[in-house]
Amino acid sequence: MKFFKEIFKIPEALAHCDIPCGIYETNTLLVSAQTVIRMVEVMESIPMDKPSLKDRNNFIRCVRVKEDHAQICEEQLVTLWADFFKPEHIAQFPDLHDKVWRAIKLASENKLDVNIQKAKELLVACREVAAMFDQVKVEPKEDLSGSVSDNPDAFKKKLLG
Amino acid sequence: MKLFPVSMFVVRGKSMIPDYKPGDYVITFNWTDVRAGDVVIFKLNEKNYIKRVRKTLKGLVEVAGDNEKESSKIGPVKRSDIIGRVVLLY
Repeated sequence: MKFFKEIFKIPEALAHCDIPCGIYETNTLLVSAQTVIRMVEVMESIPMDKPSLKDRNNFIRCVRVKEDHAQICEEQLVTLWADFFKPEHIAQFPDLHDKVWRAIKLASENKLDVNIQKAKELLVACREVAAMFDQVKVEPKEDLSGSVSDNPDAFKKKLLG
Repeated sequence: MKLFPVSMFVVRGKSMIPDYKPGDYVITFNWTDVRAGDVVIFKLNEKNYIKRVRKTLKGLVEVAGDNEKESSKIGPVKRSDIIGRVVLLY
């Protein structure tokens, strides 16, 4: 198999939603930011003097969850920034770039650090981005996913022209 | 009818987790029809995509990713755009 991989260039099959589905949300972003805060709080409550095996286990679990959710924040912010926000939104919110960039930096800093202040700043920054998103988001006019079974002929005609 | 009966692809992205992870290799059988539940590779805008068939209709196939956190329901694609059905993962 290694031989085949080296000889032939195997094409990629994308398993992500690169098709412009137009479905964006900020709940995941905000829940992840809140999770980072909660994990820092739990970590700070774990005794550092003579921690038990269970304390050590909990601490490591919190680090992992904090890391994962800070990463989710980063990914969600980058998706909104790169895919959702358009030039007209930049005109509407001149500080959009700066706010998103600051939120991404904070997500990264929260992976490096265990700091409740930075975790709270991350949530505030994410809320600012979510507020901009809420102001400009337009709900999809029709639910294409349900239309196939509801009215297949009309749906097919619309898609195939 | 595709020229070759089988094709090989490498998966990129996380919308088909847990069955298909980034870096997995898949082989498709191209001389077959597809049914709901099949995992297919299809071409759209000069890119190949891997998704699971949700519904089929004459001329159209509705596809979506397994991992709903990563993939939204992306709607139907034309049957003629489907390259093949995934038959082997390695």
